[in-house]
Amino acid sequence: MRTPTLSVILAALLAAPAASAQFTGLVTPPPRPAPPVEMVASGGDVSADTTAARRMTDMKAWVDSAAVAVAAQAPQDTSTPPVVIETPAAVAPQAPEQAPAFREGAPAPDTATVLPALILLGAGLIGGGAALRRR
Amino acid sequence: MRRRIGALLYVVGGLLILHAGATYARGALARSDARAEWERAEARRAVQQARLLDLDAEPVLVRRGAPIARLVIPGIGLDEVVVEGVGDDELNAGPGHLPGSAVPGQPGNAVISAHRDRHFSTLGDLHVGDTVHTETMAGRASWIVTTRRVVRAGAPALYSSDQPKLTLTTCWPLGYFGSAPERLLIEAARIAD
Repeated sequence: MRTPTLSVILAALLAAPAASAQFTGLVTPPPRPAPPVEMVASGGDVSADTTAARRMTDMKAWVDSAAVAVAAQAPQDTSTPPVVIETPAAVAPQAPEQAPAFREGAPAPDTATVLPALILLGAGLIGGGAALRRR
Repeated sequence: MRRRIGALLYVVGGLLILHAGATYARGALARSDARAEWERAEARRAVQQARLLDLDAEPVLVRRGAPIARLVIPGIGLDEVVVEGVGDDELNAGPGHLPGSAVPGQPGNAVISAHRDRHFSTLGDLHVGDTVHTETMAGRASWIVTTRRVVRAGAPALYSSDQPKLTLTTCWPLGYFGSAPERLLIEAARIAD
């Protein structure tokens, strides 16, 4: 037997255990939960008036059971993290800002402003800076 | 080293003046917007003349910053659009109407405040006997100054009234640098138009 052929056979024998998973033909799915019992009215019940009334009263239960069934049949993706949707109700309520308003005996609104002082201070700083730079 | 300190003082001083100038500029823009909005409201009022509110009607809630009245004081050359609210943004835009107080012309005390370095810079020249005019969506009203007083900043100063009353307030002294410690209050009574 020629050396290249021998090396290929040897490599296949040695690599077979490690590569076995790649040759698996069947993947067993995880067991699926048993579907819930669906509430379906039979044809005989529909024909009678009393049954129709019962269907109306059981409508909420029927809708709930259908929602459970849909949820059970939905693919279970465990790799994707759950998405959290913040609703407005989930946001912590903030205390309303205390706005000044008229009341009996209230002081006059705060109209004090520091802007003129800021301008004066700024002008002073610029003047001081100019004096320092001239020396 | 000295030149570096000088440069630093230059920068800090320039930033302070820039901040004050930007605030004044924002106020001028907001004042212009308020005046334009007031003029649009007046145009709408002219169209909807038949639906005019009565002067004695219940006060209507107005959003903060919205123009609510026009204040004209011929004696000191003042003609300003009054906005609702007395917060920083409102007072930067124009004289502010104190929420909860009466709308000028309605029974009760209508309180209007403004900064002394802007819209009410000449309020100190207003004296007892001078006339004031207000205009709201409900109509026009004329007032005569009855009282002029100065109180400490936190002192009780505003009281309700059965009759229409107008109170103008600003900081005092007008030429004070820094947070003024007193308030000038000018009260006026409504007179027949």
